[in-house]
Parts: sequence; C-alpha cells; structure tokens
Amino acid sequence: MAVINVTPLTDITALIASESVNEGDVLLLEEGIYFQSVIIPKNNIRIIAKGSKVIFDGKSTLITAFLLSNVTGVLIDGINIRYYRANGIEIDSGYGNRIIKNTINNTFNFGISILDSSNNLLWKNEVSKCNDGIRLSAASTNNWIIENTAKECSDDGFESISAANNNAYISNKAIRNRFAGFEIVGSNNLLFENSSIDNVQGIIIGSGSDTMIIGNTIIGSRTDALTITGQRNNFTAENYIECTRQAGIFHLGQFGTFLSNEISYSGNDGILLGSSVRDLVMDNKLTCNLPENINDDGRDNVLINNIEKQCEPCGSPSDICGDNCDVKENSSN
Amino acid sequence: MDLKEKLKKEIDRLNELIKDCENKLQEMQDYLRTSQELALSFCKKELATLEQEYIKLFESDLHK
Repeated sequence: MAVINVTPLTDITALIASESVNEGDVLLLEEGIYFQSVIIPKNNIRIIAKGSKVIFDGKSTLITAFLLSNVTGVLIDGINIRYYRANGIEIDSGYGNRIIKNTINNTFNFGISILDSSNNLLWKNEVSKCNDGIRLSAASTNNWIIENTAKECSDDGFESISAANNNAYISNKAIRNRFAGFEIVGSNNLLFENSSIDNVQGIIIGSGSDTMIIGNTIIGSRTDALTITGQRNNFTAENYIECTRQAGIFHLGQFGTFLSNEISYSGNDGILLGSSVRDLVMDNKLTCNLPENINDDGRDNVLINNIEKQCEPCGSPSDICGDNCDVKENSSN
Repeated sequence: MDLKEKLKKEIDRLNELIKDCENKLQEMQDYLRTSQELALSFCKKELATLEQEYIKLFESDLHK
C-alpha cells in the first residue's frame, strides 16, 4: 500500500488509471485549487485532503467533480467542491464506498448523487446551494446517510426516488431548503433523529410502506411538517413538531402508527388523518394546534390516551411562532 | 405536488441541464472532453431512470 502525494497539477484520473496506483493506495491531496473531474474505476482507492483548503472548482464549466462507477471501498474525505454543472460526487452502481466530511456548494444538480448503488456511507458532509443536497435514486438500497447537513438547496435537502428501499437517514440536518427537508420514497427506510428546520415542507414520506420515522425534530415548516402519503404500516414515534403553518402530521395511508409524538402550534391541525384507514394514534402530546389538535377525517382509526391542551390566552400559533415561524431560528445555525 | 407532476418537472429540468452541458462540451478543450462526456453519460442515465419511473406511474394511472 502506498501513499501518493497529489497536487493541483496532477491529472488524477490518469494517475488512478495508471499502474502506479493499486487497490488500497492513498492519494493525499495537497491544498490548492483543482480544475478537473476525477473518474475512479478502481476499487479501494482512498482520496484524502491533506488540509482544509483542497478545493475542486468546476468554474461552472465542468460537469461533476468525482465519479465513482461500478467500484467498491473508495473513500473520499475532506474535499471542498464548488461550481460544477451537475453533481459534486456521483456514485453509479457502486457498493460500500465512504464519502465523508466533504463540503459541496453551488452545483446545478445534486451535491451527492447515489444511483443504483448499495451499502455506501455518507457521513458528515455539508451541502449547500444545490438543487437537491443528497439524492438517492434507481433502486439504491442499504445506504447509510448520517450526520450530513443540506442547506438552502433549491429543491429538497435529502431526496430518494424510484424504489430506494432500506436506507437509513440518521442525525442529518435540513435547513431552509425551498421544498422538503426530507422527501423519501420507498419502503422500509429509517429516519432517526434528523432535524428539519425552516423548510417549505418538513418531511414527506411518499409511496412505499414500512418506513420508520422516529425522534425527528421539525420546526417552522411553511406547509405541513410531516406528510405521509405512503401506503401502509409506516411507524411514526417520538417526533417533535413545532410552529408549522399547516398540519403537524398529515396522513393519507393505512395502518399507520403514531406514538408519543409532541406537536405544538400548528396552523392547520396537529394530527390530520385525511383519507387514512385503521391508524393507531396513541400517547401523543398536542398543544394549541388550530383549529383542532386531532382531526380524524379517515375511517376506523383508533385514538387512545392522547393529551390535548388548548391555547393559552395570547398563546395562539401566530402569537408564539410569529409570521415567519422563526421561533427557533437560532437553533438552525 | 404529486409524484407524477414532480417527476415531470424533474425530467424537464434534467433535459435542460443535459442540453446545457452538451453545449458547454463543444467549447471544451480536448484534454477535458473524455471525462466530461463520461460525466454527462451519468446524467443521461439519471434522466432515463426518471423517465422509466414516470412511464410506470403514467401506466398505473391508466389502469386505475
């Protein structure tokens, strides 16, 4: 195993393709501004920034900074990526790659895109001002998305589409994105202890079943905080929802479980069971959600032991949250 | 916005992005072109995935 020093003058794609680089080697990147796209066709290559000022700048000309195609065990660590026309980092048909502590901003498409790939780890990346921050698509499964931040993107902070099943989103933050903090389609995904702050929608669980939404914080959503349109058996527990302009939780599926959630100051119902059927709504704490703490428009739903508090004088959602619902603005920084 | 509508919007956006990148490719120096063509092919794969998804949804709506 070798450690190979790399400078902005090195053609990294050619270097990796050459016989000088073997599986397990570390490419140690010197600080400086790199104008290139790196294609990684070999397994187990580690690309590591030597300092905090390793910058890949596509100058709004290059398409994607790092392309991992059909590889496993690649590490990309500590790189700053900016101004690429499509994506910061793209994994296509990859397995078990590690993308950690990178900072990505101003890409026209996605910060990090995972396409048809499994068992990858995305950890502690910071993405801002992209279309979507982190996007999973085309049957990407069993990926770990942990402690990333997606901020001020023009669509979603975190998004999955087209049968992206069995993925875990843990302790991520989505802040001030122009659509949803998290828009997750697929089955058996886990959303655990994430934060969605000041996004237009907080969390959307689209088509799919058996997803678990546990211990998340959703504050200041411009529309609904947590919308579940997925089909059945989604499990929602111990989430904290505050100052949402519309519904705290809006459910349209079947056999949903809503357990011990804390929902306060929603502008259009705390829990709204739309066309939902046979839900269990139990032990939730609801404070001053207007017009109702729980609005059951569905069928055969069971409501047990929910604690409901009405608004105090001068304590309506608009009094508490203000027009911009920015009561917890400081917590988003 | 429902999923179909969202996919349609996404397909339009990606089509635009790909066209725009293709134009940029024409202006690019030769040594950059190979890597950029590969990057663009990934975007086209993403687009194809979205289009398939959209067709699936469209067909399932027709059968309802």
